Amino acid sequence: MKFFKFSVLIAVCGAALTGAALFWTSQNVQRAESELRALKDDIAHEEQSIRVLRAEWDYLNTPERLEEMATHYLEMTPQEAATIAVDPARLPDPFIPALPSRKPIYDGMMAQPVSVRPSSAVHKPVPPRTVRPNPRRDDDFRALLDNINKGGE
Amino acid sequence: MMNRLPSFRRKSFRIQGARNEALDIARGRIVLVSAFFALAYILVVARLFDLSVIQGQLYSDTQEPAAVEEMAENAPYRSDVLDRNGVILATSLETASLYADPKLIIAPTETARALARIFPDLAYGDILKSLQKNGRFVWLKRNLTPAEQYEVLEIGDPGLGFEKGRRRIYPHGNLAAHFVGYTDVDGRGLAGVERSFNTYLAEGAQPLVMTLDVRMQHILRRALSHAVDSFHAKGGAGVIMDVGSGEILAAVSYPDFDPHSPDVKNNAAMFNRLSLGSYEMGSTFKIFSTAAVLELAGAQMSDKFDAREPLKAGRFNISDYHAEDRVLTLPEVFMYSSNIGSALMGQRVGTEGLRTFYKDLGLMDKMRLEIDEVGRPLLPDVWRDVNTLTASYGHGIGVTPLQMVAAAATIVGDGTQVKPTLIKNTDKISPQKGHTEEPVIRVVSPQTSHRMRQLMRLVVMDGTGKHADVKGYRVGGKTGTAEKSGPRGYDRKRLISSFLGFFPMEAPRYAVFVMVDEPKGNKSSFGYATAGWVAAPAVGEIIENMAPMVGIEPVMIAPENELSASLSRYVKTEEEKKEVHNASF
Repeated sequence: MKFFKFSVLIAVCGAALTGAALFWTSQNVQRAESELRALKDDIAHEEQSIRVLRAEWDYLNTPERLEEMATHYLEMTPQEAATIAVDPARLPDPFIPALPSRKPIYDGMMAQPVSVRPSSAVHKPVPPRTVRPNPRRDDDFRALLDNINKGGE
Repeated sequence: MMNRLPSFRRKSFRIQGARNEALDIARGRIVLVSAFFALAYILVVARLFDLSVIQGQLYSDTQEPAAVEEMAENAPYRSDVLDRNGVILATSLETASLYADPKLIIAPTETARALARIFPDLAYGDILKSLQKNGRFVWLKRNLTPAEQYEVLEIGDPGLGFEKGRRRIYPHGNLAAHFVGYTDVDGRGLAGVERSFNTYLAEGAQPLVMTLDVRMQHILRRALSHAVDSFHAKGGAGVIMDVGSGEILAAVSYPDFDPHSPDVKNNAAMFNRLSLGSYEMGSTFKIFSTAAVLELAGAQMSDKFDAREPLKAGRFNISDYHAEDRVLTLPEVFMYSSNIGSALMGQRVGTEGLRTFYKDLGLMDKMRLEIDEVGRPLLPDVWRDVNTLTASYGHGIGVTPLQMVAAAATIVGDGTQVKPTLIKNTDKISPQKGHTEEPVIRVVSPQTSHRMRQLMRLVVMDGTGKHADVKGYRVGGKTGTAEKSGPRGYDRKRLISSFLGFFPMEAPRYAVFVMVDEPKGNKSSFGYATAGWVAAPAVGEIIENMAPMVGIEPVMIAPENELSASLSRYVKTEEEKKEVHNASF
């Protein structure tokens, strides 16, 4: 009855509410902090991976390796000055032009079969001198890391 | 009469007597205590307000408040070394090396099987043996990637452990080994820019951008290594330099080494022949003596030099390698690389003039470069007149190939000093060895520059440098076949064959230099080991491969419009030579 005076009641409820709010805030902050820590860890791991990938990318794109692969798979050879055409107008047409000219060249309505005119370049590509390759395996970057047995930062 | 008690109302309720005092005290205490608590509460509220509102506003403007964890792992990585296009030449990676403590391994067979699956190159049997050894520590695999580490952790065996460390990785291997350098176990640079920029790299703030281009580097190394190997030479050096800015696009010393595991005892591979070695370069020096006689002695192209007899200077005899045995014009002296003619040119300039000229070209002092591996030129203790004669054709004075290329670039460029550099944007980096703000020094006039370009084009069109020519790219240059000196004087069998080329010669943009140390003639060179057969073809190959990359278009020029066309009147053709020969009988 009078045990619970109204003001006391208010005070007790206020205290309880404040306490609850305090704990709720505290829990939120702790949760946010652990999320932050986890995110930072993830970012650090990602940055690590990016570093490794960048190094691996430049390792796999060394000019030597690209040359080996271009020679082996694409049969490409180094450029020679004689094969470089500077004036595009002097390039030969690969096909006889398909558009009819003003004066009909062909008799009748049958279209002539298209033929490929061979290019006028008589230059014979010289087989390239292959670079002496380092022995590599399929797992290329792994091989590089294996070979670092000393050497620091 | 009895006093009636007043009505029971709070306001008029009063306690009488002694109990009144006790209650007063009690009430007082309650007030005091509640005031205390109220004060404490106000303090807490105030502090809360302070922390959340006031400091919250402060931090919203700046970066996040001091992080909870600032562990050693967050120390900055050593800066990357990049080429001019951003390609990684050196970088640091966090690697973990896997070891096992056999005593703590709980399931050796399963662990070994799992490891064999993760690392296909390790045999199951070998792993099992390692895990069952008697010791407390055994290495299993070095330098794991983060992905591999994760898989090993998944195995979950407590006997496996990682030793973390940072390793310096050089993705291009020995491609630019001498100039990028290498580091020791503790991450300190021991050679190249790793060493000379050690402090800058250790800070980890910005990458170090070099002027090298890995594509040019590859082209240069490919041609140089081919020349050295096919002529069974001891070694070689090469450089590609931008004539205008002095930027070094490619620099190779061959043989080279793997920066991941440099064999410091192998001097042949570790020695930087391009910038550290000093050599008597031979006929390439005729560029300088010819430029000197044109610039300082007012010589003309029509001037004649008597190369019929060897020149006597004290007890020395100066003779020509391929004697023409006649009177030569200035262009002919250069084209046929006559020692006698060049010595006469040097004589005409005079000792003082030549020495000052060479000094202005930077040939008499140690060159300034952004690495520590720079050699001093070898000069005579006392410079006598005979030294002027020999220095005119590149003997009796030893210089590093790089400083010679820079000096030649000075002459055929716009005539002002060319200062080689390995680092892009040197002004942004603290100049440890770089260039300070210095005035541009003119060494030769534009007229001399033009004449030298003509002469060098003549060498490639009609002279000893024919094999360096690439149709359309207007290549000019000078061959140099220098006999190395030994205990019994100069040795005809031990040569340094080099070619210094420039292109496009009417306005040179790039210098391409190849030097081969002690080549031996082979079938393709008909037994010759001279520069025209060994070094000139290498330079031609390099120019042909690099020109499209740097955007130089091939232009076919008719012979009468060539740069050196106007010199043809000073050069006797084969018929004219025969006439002269017949007329002398």
